[in-house]
Amino acid sequence: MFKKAKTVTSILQTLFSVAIALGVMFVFHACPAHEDGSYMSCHNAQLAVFAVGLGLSVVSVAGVFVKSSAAKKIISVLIALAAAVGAYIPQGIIKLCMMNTMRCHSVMRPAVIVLSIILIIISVVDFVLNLKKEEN
Amino acid sequence: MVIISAFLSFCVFGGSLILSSLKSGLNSLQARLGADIVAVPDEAAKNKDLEAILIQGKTGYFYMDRSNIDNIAKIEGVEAVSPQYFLATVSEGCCSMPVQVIGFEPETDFSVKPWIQKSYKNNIELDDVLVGANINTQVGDDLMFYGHNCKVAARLETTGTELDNAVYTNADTIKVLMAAAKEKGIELLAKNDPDTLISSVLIKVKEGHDPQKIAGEINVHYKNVSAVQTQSMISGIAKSLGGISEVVQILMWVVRILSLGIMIAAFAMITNERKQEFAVLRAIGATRGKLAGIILSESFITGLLGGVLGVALACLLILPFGGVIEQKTSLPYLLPNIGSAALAVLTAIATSAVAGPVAAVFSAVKISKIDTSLILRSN
Repeated sequence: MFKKAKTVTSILQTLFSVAIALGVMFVFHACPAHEDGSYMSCHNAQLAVFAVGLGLSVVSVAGVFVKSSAAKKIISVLIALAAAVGAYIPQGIIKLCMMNTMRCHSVMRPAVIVLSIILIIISVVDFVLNLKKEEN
Repeated sequence: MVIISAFLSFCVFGGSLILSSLKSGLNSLQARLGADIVAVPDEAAKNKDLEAILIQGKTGYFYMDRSNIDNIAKIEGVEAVSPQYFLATVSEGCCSMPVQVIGFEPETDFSVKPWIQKSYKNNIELDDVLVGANINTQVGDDLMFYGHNCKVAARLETTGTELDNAVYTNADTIKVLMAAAKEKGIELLAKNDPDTLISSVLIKVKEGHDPQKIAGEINVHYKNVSAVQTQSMISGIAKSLGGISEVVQILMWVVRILSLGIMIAAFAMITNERKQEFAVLRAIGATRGKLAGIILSESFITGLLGGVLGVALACLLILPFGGVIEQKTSLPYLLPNIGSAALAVLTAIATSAVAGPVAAVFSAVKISKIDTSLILRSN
C-alpha cells in the first residue's frame, strides 16, 4: 500500500516538475518580445523558473528510481524547497513588468505559484509516506 | 464519492466566488467614479471610446475650455464639480506600457482622494503621482514619464476596474510632464495648456435633484459640452454582468442536479455491494436505525471531506487567476470581502455535506429493511 502510494507521489512530483519547466516556456509564458525583438525583465523570470523546473524534473525523476527511504526524504525536502523558490522568483526575486494586467502578472506568476504549491503538497505527502515506511 | 462531492463544492464555491467578484467589481466601479455626471467636450461624447477612456482607463485625451467648470457649477442642483485633465503616455523602454495620466485638483476632488490608501496623509507635491493598484510599484519608487522621473506618493486601493491602471497627479506635475513631452518632440500634447484647458468635469448632484435633468440642461445650454450620466455608462456593463450571471447560475444548478443524481446512484451501488456486511451487523444485533445511521454518517463525512477539498481546489485555481477572468470577461472584477468569501466557503461545504446524506437517504431506507436471513442464505 505504502509502496504504491510512494510510487504515485514520485510520479506526480515528476509530472508537476515537468509541467513547471515546459509550461513556463510554452503555455503560461511571460510577456512576448517587443517588436524590435527585445525582451522585458519578466523574460528573465521565465528563464529562471524554467531552470528551476528543469532541476526539479531531474531530481524528481531520480526520486522515482531511488530505493533508500532516507534519500527519498531528502529528495522530497529538496523538491519542496526548490518549488518554494520557483514560486518566489516571479516578482519576489526578479521584478515583473509595470502593469499587473500584463501577461507575466496575470498568467505566468499565478500558474507558477499554483503548480509550485501543488508540488510542495505532494512532496510533503511523499515525505510523510517515507517516514511511515521507516516506522513500519 | 469524495471526488463527486469535491466537484460539487468546487462548482458551487467557484461559481459564487466569480459571481460575487463581478458584482463587487460593478459596485466598486460605481463608487469609484463618485460622480453622477461627467461633462466632456462634445466631439469626445461622439467618440465610441469615451466610455473606455472614462471608466476603463483606456489611454486617450480630449480637451475643452476651463471656463466650463464655472458655468456648470452655477447650475442649480450641482453640489460639487471637479475637473480632470487627461494625458496619455507612451510606452517607454523595457517593461512599461502606455498609461493614462489623469490630472486632478486635490482641492475640489471627490473622486480620487477617497481611494488613496489610508497610509498616505501628506499633500500632493510637485512630481508626486498617485498610482492605481495595478501599477507594479511601491510608494517612494520613481516612475518615468517622457523621460521625467516622478515619485510614487501613494497607491490607490484596488477597485477591480480598469481605473486601477491609471496614474493621478496635480496640475503642476502635468505641466512638467507636458514640458518633458515637448522636449521629447511630442508637440501635440504640449499645446494643450492645463491652465486654460481641461478634459472633463466630474459633477456631483445635490440630493433631491435629478441627474438626468441637470445633464439635459448642460447639453442644451452649452453647445461644445456634452454631459453623460455615469449610471448610463455603467448600465452596459451591468447588462453584460446580468447575462454572465444567468449562465453561471444555470450551470451551477445543472452541476447540483447532476452531482446529486450521480451520488444517489453511487450510494445505491455501494450499499448493494455491502449488503452482506450489513446483514451480518443486523444478525449480531444492530438495529435498523443503526444501519441507516452508518450509511448517513458515512455519506455526511464523505460530503464534508469532498466539500473541503473542492473549496481548497477552487481557492487554488480561481483566486490567483482573477486578472485573467477580468481580462476575458472585460468586466470589473473585485474579490468580495472576507465576510462574503467566508459565507461562500461555508455554503459550498454545507451544500456538499448535506448533499451526501440526501443522496444516501434512499439507500439507508433500503438497507434498514433488508431481509438478513435471505441475504446470508443466498451466499
